[in-house]
Amino acid sequence: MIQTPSIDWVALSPTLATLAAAGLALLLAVLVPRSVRRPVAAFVVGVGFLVAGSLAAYVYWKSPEAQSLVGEAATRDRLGSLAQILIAGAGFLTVLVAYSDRPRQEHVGEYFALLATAAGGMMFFVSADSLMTLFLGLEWFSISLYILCAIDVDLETSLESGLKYLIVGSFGSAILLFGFALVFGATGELQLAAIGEAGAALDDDPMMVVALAMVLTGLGFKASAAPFHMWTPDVYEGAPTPVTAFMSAATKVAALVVALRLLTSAFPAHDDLWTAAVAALAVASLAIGNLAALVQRDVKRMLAYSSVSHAGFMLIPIAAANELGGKALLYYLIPYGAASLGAFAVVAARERELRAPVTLDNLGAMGWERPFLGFALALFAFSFVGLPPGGLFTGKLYAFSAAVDAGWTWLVIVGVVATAVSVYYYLSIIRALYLRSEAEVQLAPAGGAPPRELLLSLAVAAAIAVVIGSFVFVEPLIDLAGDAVESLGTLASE
Amino acid sequence: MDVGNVLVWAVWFVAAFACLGSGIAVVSFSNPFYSALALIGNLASLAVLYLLLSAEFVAAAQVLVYAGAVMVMFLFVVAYLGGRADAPWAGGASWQQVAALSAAGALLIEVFLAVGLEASDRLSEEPPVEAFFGGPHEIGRLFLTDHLLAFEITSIVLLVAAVGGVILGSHTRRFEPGVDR
Repeated sequence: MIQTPSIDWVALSPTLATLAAAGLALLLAVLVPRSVRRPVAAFVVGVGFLVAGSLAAYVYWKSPEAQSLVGEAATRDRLGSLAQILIAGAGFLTVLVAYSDRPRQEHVGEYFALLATAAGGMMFFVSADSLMTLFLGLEWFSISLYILCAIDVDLETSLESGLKYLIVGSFGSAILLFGFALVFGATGELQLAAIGEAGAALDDDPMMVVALAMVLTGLGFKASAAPFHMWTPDVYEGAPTPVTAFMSAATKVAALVVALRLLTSAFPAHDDLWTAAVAALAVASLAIGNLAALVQRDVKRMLAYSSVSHAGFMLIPIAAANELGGKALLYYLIPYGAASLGAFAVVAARERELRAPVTLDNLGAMGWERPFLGFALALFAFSFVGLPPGGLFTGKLYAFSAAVDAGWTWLVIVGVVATAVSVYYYLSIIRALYLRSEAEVQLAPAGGAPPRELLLSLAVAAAIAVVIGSFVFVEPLIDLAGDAVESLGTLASE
Repeated sequence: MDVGNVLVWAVWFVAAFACLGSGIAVVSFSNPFYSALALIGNLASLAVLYLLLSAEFVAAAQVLVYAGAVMVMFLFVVAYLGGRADAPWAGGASWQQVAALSAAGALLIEVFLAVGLEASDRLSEEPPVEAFFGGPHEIGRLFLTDHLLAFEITSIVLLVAAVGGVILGSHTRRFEPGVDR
């Protein structure tokens, strides 16, 4: 008789909820009449995300201590649950943004179902606790995203985006897997904490060092940190904009939370190495992301480079490797995810209106034409800089102070300089929105009044609420992040 | 030397040279269809080598998955695209050849190092491998115990990939000029 491991269904419930929603959306898309396919699929997946988010919140509330799940394959702790809440939130807002993005009835059920499986994969990824489940979780959400990027196969840009993401992403996954194999070869363990214990005796083992480098490379690909960011602008530009919005918010959450968990639990003995490497990645991302964004005219590409630079900002607290750093990272992800999703949502609305890629030129005077969306984009750009009405101000403050505590003062200086550079291109968005002379504005034929998009506007409003709300309610959010870091239990307080 | 040992050596000899020969055949045929067929031979003789190492499960999986499923897919793709592929040595960027040669050279050096270390008894220690390691019973037990979650997740990954294959493969090509997204 085989002793099967006991299964904690409650801890797995957020992931299972998204999977159930995905399955239901796929089936219903076949069963219901063509005309109601889109509302039904969107409704099912939207509800699935709400349920998943609530279940994740319940798990967060009920698990102050980390527990191992299903034969040490996953863990139930507050870090994973908090990330799951963020991913579910991003998924829900994406459903709202995507709803009117699919005027054609092709693949609409699959579109929403894949959105749900992508989010489900990320939710599993952030709670995975062994190298095997980590890799499977990564492949699960990556494959969903590859397909979502290429889902408009008739459009060359979408196909290009999907193919590029597939090739570069598989390359990143392969390097990560190679790194995992070397870790297993050196330590003989798969579970993260066990690797950490076995690795303590191997602090100058060349195999572990090479493995660590490969793991960092693989995670860098997913988090789109420079110099592994090459795919980001092309993929973000070509993918359907709601998918880009989802990727920019949720993939960052997944990749960075896993980086924090993996590095601090599996490589505590090598922290002198990986903190330096992460700091180097942060500097490269800040420099390349911000400098390349300066010359972009296409707004999606500019936001893509902006996401590279924000990956740099979020790597700073990981490099700090202290409790404050963990809190700063988790806090930073909240307003960043909302602002990024919101900004791409506005771009999606403008794109639908113009039926052309959105550039700084045809963004012209949008602030006056569509006051709410224009104001929202301006606000998101303003908060990306890190100016007070947005929560990213506090996020950067925490990230920088974590770095100072860890002795990375020069990293803070790089961050501040990068912020100063970023002012130029973020303000050029605001300038395009409001401050253009009429001769300069090339009005594109819009064909009547812009479509009223209630759901998209709701999503943008929710994003604004999170961006500003995270600034107003810093204390409770930092406490939530602090509890999450505490339940991870690998980051020492001062 | 008893009969069993002679038999093992004979099987090893045949399998090893079949493996090498079919491997060379894969890269030297100019018709991709023959290359794919040679690759089946290569994978099958590799499976025999696995059997000699008493890795029965890996051998069976090798035949089923690679020589069976994957190669059928290869052949389908070759048949679908037609024999339009370039001859192996025609053109091709020179840096690719350099990279391929240096990678092959590195592997060769690795093989010599491993064999040399083993021959001079300088490999540090025996790997801790139990008798039932890699057997179907043990693998099945792991799938239901330690790696239960990983096993189940694999099915989800495959399901997602299948859905994706259907989406990307089944679209109706409708080019609507001037209409984007």
